[in-house]
Amino acid sequence: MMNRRHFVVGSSAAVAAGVFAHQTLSTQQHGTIQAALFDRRFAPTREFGRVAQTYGVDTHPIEGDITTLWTKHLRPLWSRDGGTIVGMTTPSMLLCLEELARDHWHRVVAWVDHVPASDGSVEHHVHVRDESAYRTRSLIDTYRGFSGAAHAMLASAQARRGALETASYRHQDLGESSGTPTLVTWTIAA
Amino acid sequence: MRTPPGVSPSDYAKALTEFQNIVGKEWVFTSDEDLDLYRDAFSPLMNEPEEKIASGAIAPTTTEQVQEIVRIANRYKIPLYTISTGKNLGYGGSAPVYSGSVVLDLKRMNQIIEVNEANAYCVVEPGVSYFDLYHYIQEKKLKVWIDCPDPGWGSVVGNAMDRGGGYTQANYRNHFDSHCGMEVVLPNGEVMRTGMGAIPNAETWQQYKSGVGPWIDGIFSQSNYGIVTKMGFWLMPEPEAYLRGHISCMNFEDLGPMVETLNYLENARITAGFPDLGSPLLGYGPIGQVQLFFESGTHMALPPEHMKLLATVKDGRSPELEAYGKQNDIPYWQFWLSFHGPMEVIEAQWQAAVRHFAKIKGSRAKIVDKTHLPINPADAEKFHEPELGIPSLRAFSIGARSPFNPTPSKGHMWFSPIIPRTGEAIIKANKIFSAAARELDMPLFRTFTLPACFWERSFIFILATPVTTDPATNKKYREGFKKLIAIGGEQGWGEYRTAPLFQESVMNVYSFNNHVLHRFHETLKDAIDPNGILSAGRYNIWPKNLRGKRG
Repeated sequence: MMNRRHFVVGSSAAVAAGVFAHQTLSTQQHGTIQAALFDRRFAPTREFGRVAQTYGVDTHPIEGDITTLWTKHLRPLWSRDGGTIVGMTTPSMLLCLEELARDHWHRVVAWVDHVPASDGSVEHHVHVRDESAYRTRSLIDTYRGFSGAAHAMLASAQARRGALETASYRHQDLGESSGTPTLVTWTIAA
Repeated sequence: MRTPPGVSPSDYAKALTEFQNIVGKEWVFTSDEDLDLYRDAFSPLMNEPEEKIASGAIAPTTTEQVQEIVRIANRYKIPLYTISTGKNLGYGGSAPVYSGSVVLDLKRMNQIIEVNEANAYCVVEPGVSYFDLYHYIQEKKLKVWIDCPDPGWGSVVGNAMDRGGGYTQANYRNHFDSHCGMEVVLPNGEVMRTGMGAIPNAETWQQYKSGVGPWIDGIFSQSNYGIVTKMGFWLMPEPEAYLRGHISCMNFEDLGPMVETLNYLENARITAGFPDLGSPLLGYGPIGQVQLFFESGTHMALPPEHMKLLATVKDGRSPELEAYGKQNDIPYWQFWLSFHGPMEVIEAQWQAAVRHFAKIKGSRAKIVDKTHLPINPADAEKFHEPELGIPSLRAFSIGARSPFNPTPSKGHMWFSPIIPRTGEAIIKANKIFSAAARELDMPLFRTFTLPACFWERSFIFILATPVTTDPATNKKYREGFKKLIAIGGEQGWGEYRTAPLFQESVMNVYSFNNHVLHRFHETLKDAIDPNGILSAGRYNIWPKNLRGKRG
């Protein structure tokens, strides 16, 4: 069963040593990502799409309904060879994708919940496999907030083995959560 | 490695090796990581010690493989739990009723055996989803429609075996009723065909349902007497046109006459499309517009005065709200009717429906959609796609937290009692269930709830009881759910379908003559499956060896 360890990283935590700036990532590190999905209704998810493009990943905007994307792209992809996808969407959209992924024995291997707080800040709850946890936390510390989650997913999408580790921190960027619902950044892989 | 209850590790290891020899090593799953894929995503016991989990999973591709698996399971007394695609979220998902069972996952049995356009039927395996069948029909440009639930990601066979429904015409909406013939692997490993399929080289398997002698198809639905490996369904010939409109009435007292009129029109087949009940005045939208309802936040956009008057509603009634509705031209009730067929026919049917509703003083009719078919695919999103036989995943656009949906849940358990098709029953059910829900602190039956019309002759409430991340809240809702089942039973109402956790409670309601129906179910179980290997506990049908001591 999953081993969920909980700890809190304060928003003022020092940037960890050995961070991976995305410019230094080789394409090999994220070469297995077959697609990046983002919900174009929200600013942070649109930013995720932009970041994904900088990684050279095939990006797919969605607007609530993923029927067409699933039937035309994801299902053929998973039916053919399987493949890792990443995204930033609403939780209900991730639930839908997670259930569809089960049909192909794919699963959510890492995710970051972005939960708006009443003071305008956003709580970021990170759930990753332990072999990628260090790198993921470092990236989030480097980039902070939504952008950090985007880089983390894209940089560590290959890691899926090991126990699940959970971390939470609050990011005090008051601007980025304005009007956005709870969102989630995620990786689905075999 | 997990081990099924009552099975020694050495026997389980031998059985797994034999399963692997049948389906291939890669299609037998035992790791925790893989078995997590068979957890119920909406389990009301999520992450609690009592959560129902699998000990293993096997994914065969042929009927012959299923037969061999069943024979092996008999030898080692391995409990199997059959799923097709496991998408019945809110009713159990992929998780076994008897925790520790090995899931027999049929999603790789995904062959569309036949789609017959001339006589409008199909034969499919359990792994065929509504999307699969829809796309097959579209690619081959066949002039037939499927009837699908919403979302349409599930199995055609699985939804029928769970007695689910859809949104097109009445004689296709009930998915079990629209089946014709099945192939079943029995608990001893024999394969049987029902109806005309029992004739070798049958030519009418999907053309005449009952064959001769006892018609036994029904005993394989919501049960554990066999594993259905092929199933035929009647399909709807592609209609030429579609018309949808609504009838509105302004008075609370109009509800009863409106229901009576709807019943006549439906029973006389003047209208056969999915009837959809709404109340603009109570802020209650029709099912067919639920996505737009949540996406646009229509119900939250009501003026403050209107919102304030909603608080005066008791059992659906409020003279003050009714007066407000009349002043502002907001109908108390709005029934949506839909029609499929030749344009001249459906226009005439609509006119006949309007004429009958006109007997209710002040009723008004409005056509909302009228179009020739097939529609341009780009226009599909203007409609509730399943009412046009188009599967969709759009339902998942409504679950996001937003100003209009501030507390989306982590899942839900469907509370689905059947009640009589009368206005009085709607009001009575609201009165009884809302009082109970308030007392139990359950978020159901708040202002007023309208039932759905999936089935002919009866109403059904389909209400989502939330699953949360808080075990204490989940416990409260689970216990409350069971009390609501019993309260409905006291009125003579019972659920049409329920999640595994509540199947015993629901079956207990069907207790006429000292539970003779349930005793009959278990008598059959003992005769058909003496080793109790198939889906133990499904709908409270337990094999003799587990009766009274299941985990």
